[in-house]
Amino acid sequence: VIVAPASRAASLTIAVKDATEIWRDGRFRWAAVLLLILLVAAVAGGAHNQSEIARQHAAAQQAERDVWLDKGDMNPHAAAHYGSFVFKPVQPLSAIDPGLDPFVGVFVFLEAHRQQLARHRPIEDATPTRRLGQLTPAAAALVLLPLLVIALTFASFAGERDQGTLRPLLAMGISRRALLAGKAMGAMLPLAAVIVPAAIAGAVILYLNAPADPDAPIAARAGGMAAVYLAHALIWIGLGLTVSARARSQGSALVVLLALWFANAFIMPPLAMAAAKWIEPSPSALEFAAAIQDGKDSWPSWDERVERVMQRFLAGEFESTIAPSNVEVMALLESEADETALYDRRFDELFERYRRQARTFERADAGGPLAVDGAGRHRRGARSRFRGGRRALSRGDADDAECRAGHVRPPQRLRLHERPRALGEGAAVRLRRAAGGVGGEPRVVEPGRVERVAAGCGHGRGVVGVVDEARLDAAPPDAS
Amino acid sequence: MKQLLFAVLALSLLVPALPMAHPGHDHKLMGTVSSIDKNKISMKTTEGKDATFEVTPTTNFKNGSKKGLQSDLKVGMRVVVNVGDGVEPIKAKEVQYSTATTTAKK
Repeated sequence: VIVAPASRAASLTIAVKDATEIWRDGRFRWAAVLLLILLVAAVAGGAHNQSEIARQHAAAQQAERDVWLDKGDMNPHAAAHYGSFVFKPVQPLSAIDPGLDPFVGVFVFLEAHRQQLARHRPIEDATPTRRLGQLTPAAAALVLLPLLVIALTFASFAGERDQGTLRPLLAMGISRRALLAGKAMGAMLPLAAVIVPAAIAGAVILYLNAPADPDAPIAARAGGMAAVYLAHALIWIGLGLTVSARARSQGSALVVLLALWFANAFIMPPLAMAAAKWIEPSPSALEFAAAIQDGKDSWPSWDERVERVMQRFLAGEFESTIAPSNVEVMALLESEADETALYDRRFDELFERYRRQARTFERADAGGPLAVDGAGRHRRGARSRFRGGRRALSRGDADDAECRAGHVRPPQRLRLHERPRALGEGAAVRLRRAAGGVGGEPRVVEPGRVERVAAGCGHGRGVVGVVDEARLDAAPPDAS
Repeated sequence: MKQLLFAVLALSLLVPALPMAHPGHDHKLMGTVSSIDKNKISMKTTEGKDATFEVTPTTNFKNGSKKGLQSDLKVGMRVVVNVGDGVEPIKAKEVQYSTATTTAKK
């Protein structure tokens, strides 16, 4: 509100008078102190919780890494499916707002060929009211702080009207804008007594928490979050002043504001979510899995696929000399490509639905605490999808096909690569297969040893071999 | 009697520990014929490797879905060779080709 210089003094006088009266009210002091304690406790608790989660993640990640390194030698395909869990780094700002973590989970299973969603999302096991029971600084700022704002503003104009002082104020020549500015400042000053100490305490606690990623712009993000919370509080101040100005009495202003707060905090979010789900229904996990399975069922059988590859080769396809010479390997690669396309299509459809749901939700609940808190939550959640790579067959079939591909090679001609300790994602395995192996020195081993490896291929995940990659030597088999 | 019982029990416990023999699959290699002898066929695989297979009296030749002849094969022709389980000496169980397509493009 822009006021003329002459009116500024009047505005300030009104603001100081209102702020002093509010501050002298013991009920406000109690409420302010309680909210301040609540905010600081929430930040401290959140920071402790964040540190604990970060410590647990680091320990679990290390344990998972040890399991991977100690798993022994393994057929590469089996190793790629053996997989590994990875954990999302915990950033300091999650002490303020855990954000997406309860919704999309914090760890995913990396496995070749499969596209995975984060596992064990806390929200899956939660009741709809779980969110209400979470004392996070974000919840306190978005749900409880408006209550304090209501307490500060509901009587701003309605109280003057009830006491018969509004008309005399206007009769003194104070413009409506100056009066509005004075009332707004009068509400903001006591509010600052709560927000500023809480913000300082929060900043100190966050500063003491080392970020998981030192390059992450934590300060900028914290500033952005603070701006959102401040804007939310200012919206509520404006709403409180508006209702107070138009209400016939303090009581009616209070009732209207409390009703708005309750609807905004507790009724609109689930209603908006229900509407979004009704307008843009999303499949259940079972339906989604069934849709993927239906796609797989429509594919040719393995034998048909192998036969088709063979016929296509005889018909002139596969010009590239890097194409695998084994028909089954070629069929396996094509099968993986089909499966990747299927996963891509289904996941894209699913997340497009989620995006439309999010848009509907945000429109229906614009300004609501959950919409503010979770602005873009669903969009960001969609992008958090992990693509674990491609997958062609069930684990047993894939291992078997891999084994068959290796088994055709004459044992005397097999050139073997030691498994690099850092062998990781399926992509690395694919790279090795395509490029002829990366890492480790190729060496020729005794035929018997190779046969043991080949014989062990059929045992899938549990196979313990001496090599993880076997490739045909350049020399012809009968040259020796 | 007890000794026999324990022996049977011990043997039954050992059975799952024995490695299951690999079932053995027929493997088919794709390539282009590089030379033809009476008893041998050499080809360059699609991976660019050279491979040679013995042709035996039991080797089956197929031209598409019809029965074929070794004499149909020509250098440069695309073939898919079924090499059985791949144990040396590698013998071709079946050689499939198609006269509909002549030589492979390089």
